[in-house]
Amino acid sequence: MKHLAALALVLSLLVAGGCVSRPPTIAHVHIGHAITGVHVTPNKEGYMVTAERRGAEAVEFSRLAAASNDLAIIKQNVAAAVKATDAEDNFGVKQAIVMASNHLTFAATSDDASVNVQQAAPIFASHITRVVERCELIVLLGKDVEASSSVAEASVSVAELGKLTRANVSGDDFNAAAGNAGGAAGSLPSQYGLVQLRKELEAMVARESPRYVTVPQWYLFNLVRLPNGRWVFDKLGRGGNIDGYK
Amino acid sequence: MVISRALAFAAVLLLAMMRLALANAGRAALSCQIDSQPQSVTSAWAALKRSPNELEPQLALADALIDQGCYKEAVPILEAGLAQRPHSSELQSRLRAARSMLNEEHFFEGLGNAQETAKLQHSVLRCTKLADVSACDDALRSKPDDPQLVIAKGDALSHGGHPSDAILVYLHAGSLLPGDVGVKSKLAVAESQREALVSQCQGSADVAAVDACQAALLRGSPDEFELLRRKGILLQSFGKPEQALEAFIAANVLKQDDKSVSLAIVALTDSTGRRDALALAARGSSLLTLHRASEALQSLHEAEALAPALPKLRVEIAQAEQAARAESKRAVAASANAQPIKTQPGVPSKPQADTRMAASGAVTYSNDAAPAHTN
Repeated sequence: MKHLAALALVLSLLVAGGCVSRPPTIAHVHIGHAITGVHVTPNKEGYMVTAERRGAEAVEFSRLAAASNDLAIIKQNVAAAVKATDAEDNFGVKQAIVMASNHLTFAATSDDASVNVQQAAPIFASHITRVVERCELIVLLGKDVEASSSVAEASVSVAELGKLTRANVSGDDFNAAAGNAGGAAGSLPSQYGLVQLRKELEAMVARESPRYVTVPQWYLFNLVRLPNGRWVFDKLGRGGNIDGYK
Repeated sequence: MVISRALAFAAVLLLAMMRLALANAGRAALSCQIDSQPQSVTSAWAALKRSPNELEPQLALADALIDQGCYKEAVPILEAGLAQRPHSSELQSRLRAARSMLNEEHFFEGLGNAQETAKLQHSVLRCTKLADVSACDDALRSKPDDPQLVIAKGDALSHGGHPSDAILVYLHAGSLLPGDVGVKSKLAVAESQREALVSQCQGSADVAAVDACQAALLRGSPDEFELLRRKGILLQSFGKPEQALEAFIAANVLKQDDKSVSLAIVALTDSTGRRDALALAARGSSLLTLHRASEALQSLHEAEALAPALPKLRVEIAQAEQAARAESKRAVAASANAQPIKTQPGVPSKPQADTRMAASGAVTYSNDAAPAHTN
C-alpha cells in the first residue's frame, strides 16, 4: 500500500512536471530540420549545420590549395573545395542552405506557424542569395583552376576562391573591397555569410511564442505530408516524408 | 525501412532539384496566365459573382487561381473573404499559402539571378585580374558604361600589346570620367606604346614589322593610310599577295588618289585573280586614279553587278563614265589632229594603206599585234 502511494505520487509529479510531453508544432519540426536534424543529410544533421560544416571544409581545402606550389595538388584541393560548395549528391553549401530555406518556408506555410515564422521565412530566403551567388562563382573559378596550365595562372583564381569560401562562412565587406568606406564584414544582407544567417535563424527562434524547444529526433524524422497537403507524424515511425514533400 | 528512407531521400532531392530548376527557368512553368484562364477559373468567377458573400465560391475561386499559379490574384479574393469571416481557418490557410508562394517567387527569382550575377562577377574578375579581353567584353555587355570595367578593358588591351585599341577604350573611359588623371596617364602610356609600334612598322622590314603595323593601326588617326600602305608593301615583299591586297584595298578606301596604292591594287587583282565585288570596286577606283577610265568603268560595272549597294560605287561609275567620255573626246581630237598630215604625192598615208590592204582581203588585224600579211 505504501509502495502504491509512492508510485502514485511519482506519477503525479511526472505529469505535473511535464514529463508527458506534447508533440511539437509542425512549424517547429520544419525549423528543426533546418537547425537540428533531418534524416536525409549525411550525418542526419540539420541543413544549416550541414551548410556550416561544408563551408568550413571548403575554407580548409582552399587554404591547402593556396599553400601548395604543386599544380596537381592545387587542382585536387580546389576540386574538393568546389565539391564542398556545390554537390547535388552530397549536400554542398549551396544545396544545404537552399534546403534550410525551403524548410523555413514549409514552416511558414504550416497551419500552426506563428506570425513570427511567417514573416521571417521569406526574409531569410532572400538573405541566402549572396551565399548562393558566391557558390556559383566558386564553381566558375574552380573551372578556371582546372583549366590552368601553371601555378602562376591558377594562383589568381585560387586566391579569389579562398576569399569567397571564407566570405561564405563569415560574410564579406564589398564596400571595403571596392575601396570605399567599409563597415564590418557581413553587416548588410548582401554581405551575409553562414554566420550571419545562423544569427538570423536563432533570432527568429528566440522570438517564438510559444517558446521553441529542440525538437526530439523521432518527430524530426517522422514528419510526413498527406496527399491533401497536411503535415502529420507517421505513427509507425517509418522514417518520415514517405509521400515526399510537395 | 531502408527503402522508405531511400524514397524519402530521393523525394527531397527531387524537390530540391525541381526548385532549383524552376528557379533557373524563372518560374515560367507556374506563372499565372491571366489572359487565358481555363474554364475552372471563369466558372468560379461566375459562381462568386452570383453569391459574393458565400464561403464556398470564395474558396473555389481561390483554389482555381492557386492551381493556375495566380497567387497574386488569389490574395485579394481571400482577403475579401477574411474581412467577412475573420476566423475562417480555410481562408486563413489559403491566404498564408498564397502569400508564401508569392514570397517564394521572389526567392526563386533571386536564386535564378544568382547564376547570372556570378557569371558577371567572374567576367569582371578575369578582366581585371587576368587581362582577359573577352571576359571584359562579356562584362561590358551587362554594364556597358561602367568606368572601372572600361578602364580594365583598356588595361587588358594595353597589356596584350594592342595600344591602339586601348587608346580608343581609354578615350571612352575619359568621356565617362572627364578629367580623371588616372585615365589620362594610361592614355599617355598607350600612345607612347603605339608610337614605338609605328616606328617599328616604318623602320623595319621583318615579319614583326607587319604585326607592328597592324597593332599600331588606329581608326581615324592621320597615319592610318600610311600604316596600311606600309603593311601592304611589307606583305607583298613577303610573298603574301592576298593579304597585301587586303591592306591596299583598306588603304584605298581611306585615300583614293595614291598612285602607288592604285598600281599595287591593279597588279595584285591581276595576280591573285580576285573578282569579288570589293576587289573589283577597288580595281575600278584604282584604274580611275591611273586615268584608265574605260577599264575602270568595266571593273566598276562588274562590281555593281555583284553588289549594287556597295558604298560610293554609283559615284565612281558616274566619274568613270565622265572620264571615259573625256578620254574618247581626246582620242577623237587626237585623231582629227592627225588628219592634216601632208603626204608625198603617190604615197598614201598609213590608214589609207591599211584600208586598201583590208579591201584586198590580203591583210588581217588583231587588236594589239602588228598587221600580219598573208599571200
